[in-house]
Amino acid sequence: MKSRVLPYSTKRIRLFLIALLPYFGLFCASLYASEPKEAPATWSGVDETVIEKYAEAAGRSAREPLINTDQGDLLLFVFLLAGALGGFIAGYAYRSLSPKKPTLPLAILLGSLACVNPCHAQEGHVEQHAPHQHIHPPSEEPLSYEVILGINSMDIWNGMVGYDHPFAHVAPRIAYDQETLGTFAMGADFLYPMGSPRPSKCGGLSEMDVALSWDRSFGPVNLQLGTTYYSIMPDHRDDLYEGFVGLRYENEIVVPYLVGYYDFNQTDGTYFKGGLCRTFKLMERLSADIDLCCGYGLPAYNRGYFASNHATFTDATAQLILQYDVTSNLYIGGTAAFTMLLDNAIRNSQFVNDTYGTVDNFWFGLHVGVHF
Amino acid sequence: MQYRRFVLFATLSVATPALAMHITEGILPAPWAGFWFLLAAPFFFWGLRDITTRSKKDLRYKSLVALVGAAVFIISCMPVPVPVVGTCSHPAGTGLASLLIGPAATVVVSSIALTLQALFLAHGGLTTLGANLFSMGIAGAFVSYGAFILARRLRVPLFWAAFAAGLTADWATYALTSVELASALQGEKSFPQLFTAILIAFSPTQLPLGILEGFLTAIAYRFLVARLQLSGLGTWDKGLAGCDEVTK
Repeated sequence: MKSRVLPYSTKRIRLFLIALLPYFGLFCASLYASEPKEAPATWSGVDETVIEKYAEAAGRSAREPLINTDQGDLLLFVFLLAGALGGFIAGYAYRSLSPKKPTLPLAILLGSLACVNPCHAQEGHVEQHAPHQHIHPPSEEPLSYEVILGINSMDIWNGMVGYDHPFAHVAPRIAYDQETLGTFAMGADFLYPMGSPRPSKCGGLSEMDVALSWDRSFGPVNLQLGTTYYSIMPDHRDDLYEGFVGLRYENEIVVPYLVGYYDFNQTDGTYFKGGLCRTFKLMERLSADIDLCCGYGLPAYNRGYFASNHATFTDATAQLILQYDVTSNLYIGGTAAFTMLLDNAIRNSQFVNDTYGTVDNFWFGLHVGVHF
Repeated sequence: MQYRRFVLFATLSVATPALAMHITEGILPAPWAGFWFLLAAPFFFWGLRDITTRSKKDLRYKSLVALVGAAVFIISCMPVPVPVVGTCSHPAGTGLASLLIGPAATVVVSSIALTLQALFLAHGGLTTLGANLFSMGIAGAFVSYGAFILARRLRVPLFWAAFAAGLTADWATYALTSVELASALQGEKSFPQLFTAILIAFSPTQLPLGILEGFLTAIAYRFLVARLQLSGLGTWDKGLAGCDEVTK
């Protein structure tokens, strides 16, 4: 009866202590039974004090590991690295599972490693001048509109310098998403050079690109077909008609894509662009897109643009796009990219140096967009 | 609240060289190493299938597996000194893992943690990977899972059921390690004699460490169940997992 008047927690503690008694008996017995004949090194692991001891008694000894990091402070460094990486992964996964997202500093700390969002729609890969168009989440309505205003430090197209001064561009786009038939889209991009020389005709417009495309997902694979018309002001001598077919494989790790372009009127050449991209959702509203891609031109294409008769890897690009969603309809962002021509014969050719100036280029841009 | 989470993960992130219980490279003779690999293989493939199936049902399961995988890796790298004995060993982490993602998936995350440790951290070994996986990833996970189910069926409170899972995961791991060593190294001694000797040698370190792992598992499990939306992930039904109990 007395125990009933004890607080509930005290009863629990008493029960717990009673349950611990056999344990302490076992512990003391094991201490006595396992008392070593020779004193072991202080704070040795049981792998040394038990496992290796019995192994040596049986005539077997431990071998060096395949990669021996147990050399000086190297092991400390590897453990630190492993712990940091493990902590980041655990932190990020925790954040993605948590209904209440951590705020800015913690999100940056824990979320900087990665997330599980696959890249958004890839229209940007085929609209060369407007790579930013793929970074906002698709609208829930079947019909969506978008306009992007941006400034870039220079104009690069497939590794080639089109215009080596800053330019502004306006890119409107309209898309219709039909559930079974896929997405039909039409986009344009108007380029206005800002430096010198600046075109005096056509209201300062140097180029207008119009793209029509259709894409549809078949399971994780997305197929895209389309055409782009590049209208080069003011005399339209270099106007270009291009068709493209693109494939990408949506997954949670990294999205591989491959697009084939066929130039109908300038070179009759074919060019492929393949790469890997991934979207990192850094915070609720902030995301980063990383895109690494490489171009491969067939002989006709390379002859037309690089005066080279060989099929070869022509260019490579590494691009980072940061986007911050100010509201559900308005976003701002920045782009930084490095583009280089790859093939040594192309890089060193007089034609390329005279026509495009530089073969390695770093460029950046800022943009603001609205979508409905 | 944010700072507390930060401290939790910062603490988890600080791993130091482990002085521990995995069977070292070269200790097991080749036939025994192969035998444990063969025995562990079906569980590994079962785990892979389990992860695929559950991820198809709910994508969040993958995030949970990543979280648990990182936790198992860090916990099993964390040496804990036992003052009276003067030695170090580490918890297994598989008790907590089996409660959160299920025992089969725990086998897979344990195999990843053990492989990384064997390759880069001079901890365990590639030839002894099968044996280490069987003791830590399979015995630890399934025994703790069974202990938790049994405790919950007996209406044991959530905290103590999770404690039992952590405790039994640790002790089962070392019991199996003793079996593996005794069977491979018995020589002229009898198996029971060597098994008992190794088990007793492990006991001064592992008995207190098992208690510590029990508390660690119970606290971590309560923390995660209370703060994350785990109930829909299919690892447990709501009542058994204690989701309602914790969020009340």
